Amino acid sequence: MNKGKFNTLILLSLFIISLLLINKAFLYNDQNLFTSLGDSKKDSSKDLIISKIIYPKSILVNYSEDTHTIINANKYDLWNDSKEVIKDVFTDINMNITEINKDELSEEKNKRSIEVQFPDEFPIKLITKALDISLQTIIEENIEYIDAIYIRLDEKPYVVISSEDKIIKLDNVSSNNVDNIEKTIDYIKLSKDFINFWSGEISLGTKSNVYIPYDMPNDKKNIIVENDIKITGDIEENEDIDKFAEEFFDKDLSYLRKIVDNSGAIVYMYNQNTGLLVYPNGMVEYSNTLDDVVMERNIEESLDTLIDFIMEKDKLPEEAYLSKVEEIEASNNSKGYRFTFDYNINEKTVYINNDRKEEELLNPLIVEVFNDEVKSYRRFYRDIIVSQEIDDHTEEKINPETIIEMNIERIIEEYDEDENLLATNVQQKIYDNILSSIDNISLGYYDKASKYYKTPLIEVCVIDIGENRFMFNTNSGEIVDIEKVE
Amino acid sequence: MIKKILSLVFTIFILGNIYNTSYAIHHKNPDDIKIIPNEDYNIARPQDYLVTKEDTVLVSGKAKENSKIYISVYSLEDLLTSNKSLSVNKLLFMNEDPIITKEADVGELERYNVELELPIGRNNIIIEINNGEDNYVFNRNITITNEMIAKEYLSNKNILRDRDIIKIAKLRAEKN
Repeated sequence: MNKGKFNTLILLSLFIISLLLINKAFLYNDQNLFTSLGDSKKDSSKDLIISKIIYPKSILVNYSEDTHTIINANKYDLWNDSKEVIKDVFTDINMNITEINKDELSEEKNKRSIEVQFPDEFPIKLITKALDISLQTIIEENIEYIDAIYIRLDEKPYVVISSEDKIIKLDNVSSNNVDNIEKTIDYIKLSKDFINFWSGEISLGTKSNVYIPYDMPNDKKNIIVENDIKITGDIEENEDIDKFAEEFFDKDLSYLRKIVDNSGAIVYMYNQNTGLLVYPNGMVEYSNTLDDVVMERNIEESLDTLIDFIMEKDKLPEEAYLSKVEEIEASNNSKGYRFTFDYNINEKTVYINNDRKEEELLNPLIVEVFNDEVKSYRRFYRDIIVSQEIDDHTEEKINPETIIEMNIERIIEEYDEDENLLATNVQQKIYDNILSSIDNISLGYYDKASKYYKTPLIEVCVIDIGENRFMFNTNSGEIVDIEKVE
Repeated sequence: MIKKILSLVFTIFILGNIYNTSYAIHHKNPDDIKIIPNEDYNIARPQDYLVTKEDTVLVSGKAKENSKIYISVYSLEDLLTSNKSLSVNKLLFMNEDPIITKEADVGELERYNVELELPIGRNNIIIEINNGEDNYVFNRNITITNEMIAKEYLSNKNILRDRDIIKIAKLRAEKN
């Protein structure tokens, strides 16, 4: 080979390398380039809120028949990994849809898989909005609501969508994002705080979707909360409340009519139809009369209105999530939705005691929306003032089975009242009946909310038996509260 | 499929090594021992001769209120490696120390559930239920494997032999 040819070869290869490098540099950059040029109409902070509030309550991770665990969706980024797979599957045009039954789904949970569990049945359009994908009509024709999404981790993955009435399996799908979930769940298994959850159906005879721990997590925390609106002192002269009202209406106090009611509540009237009520316990209630009659409810529009309202007038607690969506009708026959929120502290749901209603819990936020109008908005927010780890490993938390055993007399009393199944009079039969009507066991925090400032939270084990929701202190095993559930 | 083949291989091996054991830990009189489960006293889980890669098992079953549950776990590898000339049939567990012991009381629900974390290898679990009068004894053989070992055996088309168990024991020692 002569020198000239050799030089040409070197130059040529240098040229090719430079092309490759340039190409690579552009590839790395193009994402940023495109978003900065992207469609500016799309409000990204709004999308962010939607993706933050439409959020699973927990994720059940299944390794095998005997090994399961339940984790907060935020932990280990598992929800984000799952979202990618769900997006791939929901947009796969080759998908094949078949209906399966509850037993088949239970059986699926003995295989290596995860199940993303939402707090309630949500309209499927709400989920696809949170995932920012357009819904394929083939799915929409088959299922209207979602309360859980199961993802089978396998070479040939598949997805099962379940609602109360119908369960469908989507197979013949593909996703390149299953590996991420696989890696994450292997990592979870090896982590120090891995807790094995066992099928409650096998160990206790509960309903099939209940999984319970026997070795309890040892992560005690001292958490103290108080109202975010300070209602101490003379309520009539309280500047904090005035300021809240001013910011809420974005108007100076002189534009609002302030009335102090006999019960100690303060009312701020903006006009004849719109007012804000601040209760002595710090709960705030906004109400508004609807301008028009809304004949057809629209979930996407209502959600947009809700988010705009919150962003404009108020805020959401950290870790707040949508826990219930109900279809409602106003007195003028307008059709709308009631959105209920809950919030987590330290990855556990906080249950707030309701001082005014014995058998009800308080939700941090409940909003009634009729497409483009907010009819009512009720909020009770608490700020965390102290959150510190307790280094006490001497006392172990009590596991759910022991808690049930400790409180069985009381559970029977409550059970007797609403089920009246004592006819058999065989004690073991009654126990079996009670155990078989358990459909939820989870851990959370209980906020007594009797003092409006500096309330320590109690760590509780929440057990739903029939119509009753029992809350037990996990350190002492004692009953903290009993509420009705639907 | 791999799991099925694996469990078959393990089961065949273990079945070929069935041995008699005697237990004398918590009962007073050897005549009291009952090993046939009935409706009131039994063990539901785990299955005998279970081969699994999950090292946590839940021992669960039924017993009458106020019974006491004593669980002892023996590692068969310890026995085999410490005294290779001893045939498995002649092993007397009383002479060996259990690697795990746990106790539980049976309450009003008349059920027991005890979680155990087992080491990799073959484990013999002895469950004794004592109600003050009778002593019920159940026995479960559980083999904990891990994927790495399982794959190795399959690729070598090996059948699990005692020297393989020594290998498992060594691996376990290294892990610790």
